[in-house]
Amino acid sequence: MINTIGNICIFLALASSLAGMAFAYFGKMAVARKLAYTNFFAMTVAGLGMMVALLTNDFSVSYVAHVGAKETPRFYAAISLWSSLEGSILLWGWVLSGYTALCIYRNRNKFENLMPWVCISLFAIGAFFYLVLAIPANPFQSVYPVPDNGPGPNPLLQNHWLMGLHPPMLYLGYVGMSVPFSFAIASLVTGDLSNAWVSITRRWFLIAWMFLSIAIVLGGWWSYAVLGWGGYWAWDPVENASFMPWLTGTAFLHSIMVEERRQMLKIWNLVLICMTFLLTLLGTFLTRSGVLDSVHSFTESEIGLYFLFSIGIALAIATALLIWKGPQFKSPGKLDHPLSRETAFLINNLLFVCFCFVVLLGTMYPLIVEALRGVKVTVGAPFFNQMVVPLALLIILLMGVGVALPWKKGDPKTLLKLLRWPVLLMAVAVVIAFILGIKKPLVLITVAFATLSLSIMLIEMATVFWRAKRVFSLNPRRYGGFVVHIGIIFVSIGVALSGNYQKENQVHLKLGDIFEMEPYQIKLDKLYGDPQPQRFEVIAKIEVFKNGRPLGYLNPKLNFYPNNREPVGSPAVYSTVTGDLYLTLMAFEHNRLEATIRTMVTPAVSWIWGGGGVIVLGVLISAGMKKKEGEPPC
Amino acid sequence: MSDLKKQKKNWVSLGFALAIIVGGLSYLIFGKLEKNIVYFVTPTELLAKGDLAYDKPVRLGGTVKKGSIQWDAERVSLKFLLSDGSKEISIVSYETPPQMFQEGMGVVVEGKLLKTSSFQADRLMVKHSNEYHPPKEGEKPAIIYKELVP
Repeated sequence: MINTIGNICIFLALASSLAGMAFAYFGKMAVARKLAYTNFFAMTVAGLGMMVALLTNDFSVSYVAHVGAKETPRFYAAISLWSSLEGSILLWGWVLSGYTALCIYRNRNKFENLMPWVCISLFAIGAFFYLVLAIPANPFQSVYPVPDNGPGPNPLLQNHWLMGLHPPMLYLGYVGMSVPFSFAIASLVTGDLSNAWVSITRRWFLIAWMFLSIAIVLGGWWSYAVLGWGGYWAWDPVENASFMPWLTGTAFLHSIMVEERRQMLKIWNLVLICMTFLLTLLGTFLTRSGVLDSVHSFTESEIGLYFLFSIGIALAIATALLIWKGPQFKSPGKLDHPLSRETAFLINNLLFVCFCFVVLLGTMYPLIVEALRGVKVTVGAPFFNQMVVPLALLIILLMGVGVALPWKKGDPKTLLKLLRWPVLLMAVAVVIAFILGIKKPLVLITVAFATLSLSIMLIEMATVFWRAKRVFSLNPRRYGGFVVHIGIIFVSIGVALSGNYQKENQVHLKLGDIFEMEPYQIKLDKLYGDPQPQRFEVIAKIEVFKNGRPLGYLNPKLNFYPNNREPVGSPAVYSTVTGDLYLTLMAFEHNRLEATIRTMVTPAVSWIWGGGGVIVLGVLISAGMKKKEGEPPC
Repeated sequence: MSDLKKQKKNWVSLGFALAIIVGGLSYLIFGKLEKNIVYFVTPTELLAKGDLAYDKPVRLGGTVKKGSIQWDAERVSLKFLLSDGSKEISIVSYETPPQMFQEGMGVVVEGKLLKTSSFQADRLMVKHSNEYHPPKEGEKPAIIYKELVP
């Protein structure tokens, strides 16, 4: 039953997308709009249908038979919609149909020349995904005979509530990039690159970028809270896949301002949009095709070929349009002076693109080596760290100095005057950090640049507030952007401190044993098993003291799932602003008297999650607040 | 100088600058890459390298030889033999093995072969993939774990 409905919906979505392309091409936008809504309706029915099937354990549906289990708690049953390939593509298509309908609805009376091509492009991307859903990744296949039960979702994905949040955010970010891409295609075809185009494209881009930022931070948090190694970022290809479009996207959000103000970099901005979109497709290909396990494995999965094909087509179309139609856009603006905000933005773009190139190369290199030389290699984290840290430090420095520079032509004297206090504060911060025991040069440089940039921005905001008694409503884009930068600074400090000053121990404790780990003491209180419907938990009850004062209990667990040989851990974390105590149950003796615990004391991890929140706040101010007076943006 | 000539000269110098930047960057990146790549090898392949194998980080894959596990919980030290069927290497690790670590299991260790001809592992990974695979015929993890805690 649900299979039939699902397949009809997918077919309807595919048909309405193809028809929508045709109607949009012939200028029948009223019909194309209705088809976009039909499309969204069909995908919503399919998506909700799958959720119902998952919640009611309808094992006649192939996807449910693949990831469902009667014992899975309701919440995890519902979110297992995105726990495996077919469901993820279904969610992808659903989100895309939503974006398509929303974009077409909001602009129904605007951009008469652009919208047909925006429609065509969005429908074309949609058609591809619905085709994938219909053939190689169809989640609604009938299973016969109907099994009594299923294996349940991948244990790693039913271990933490963050799994309910991270993937949808990622899809909202990834898929959201389709909208600016479609606007870029439309502008290339029609030659319309007006201010209105810039404004609408930037706004959609910013929203998608915000979701992508949330997704990346939540992904790190999930990794920290579930995987039990005490870290949050390992330069894993899956992580890199989400990070690369973020990097080119961040470059775009800066360089679009140069286009807006100075009529420069028009073609470059189109290139950045296309790169960002293509990187989202590449990310999906890398993570979904199995190509990372082995170059040769993706040919076994049909879906890899589909994605490779789609990347090829999108790349060909974008490149052809850029070469053929790009030169029509003249960028009359010229760089007036090397000391100007334009220059800062240009350096920013150079840094972000280099950053992305390094990550891309490190991610793809094993594939290249395997294809050329036939040996399996991995690129170690040190490569990424050594290459990326200098770039990141320069970016942090530029975040403050860039905003301090004026458009067109800066004056060295004014700049120096502006920098007096921030430089002084920077020196103070470095001395304090040194006294507090931070001796590593790179961390000290991070602290220095972060303080410099932070104080430049805070001083400007304080001055503005002093004069006008308001800050954000005066220029939401500029000061919203400052807030985003402050969030990034928090994240950078968190990364620098937690990455360099983590203390780790593995201890074997008997019941009642106390282990000392500055400033904490932990005592193994009890070791017991707890059967749950979907899993069997082994729990170590550990009493935690800070400088002798009891703080309460932490309960790191090992969870045994019937479908997995390996237990999945649930680390337990005591988190404070200054640092975290992180306990993982590594192993236990079967007599329930002894356990091996990994303990980690990591400074400033929570700054990363907090910084993520600040970034979102900044985007909301920047995109959502209305400006009160007619001042030029930024 | 005419404007056209000036423009041409600008392009040429810009081209030179770009070539230098791109060239320098590639040199830097590829140099670092070659230093930081970690090869996947089997014990046979590693031992075949002779003296070249020492002190280079690699990922070594194979199965845990029967009866070779020596686990000292007090000192958190683990020793076992990793075999690929024909050759075997003695592994030393100061990490707690995964709970399910057992004889005959496929593992990947990351670390270096020392001159003492034992392999020091910094990381021990049990072979598994991202996508779920149902237990194979005869494997009953559900039963295994019920026995773990009485």
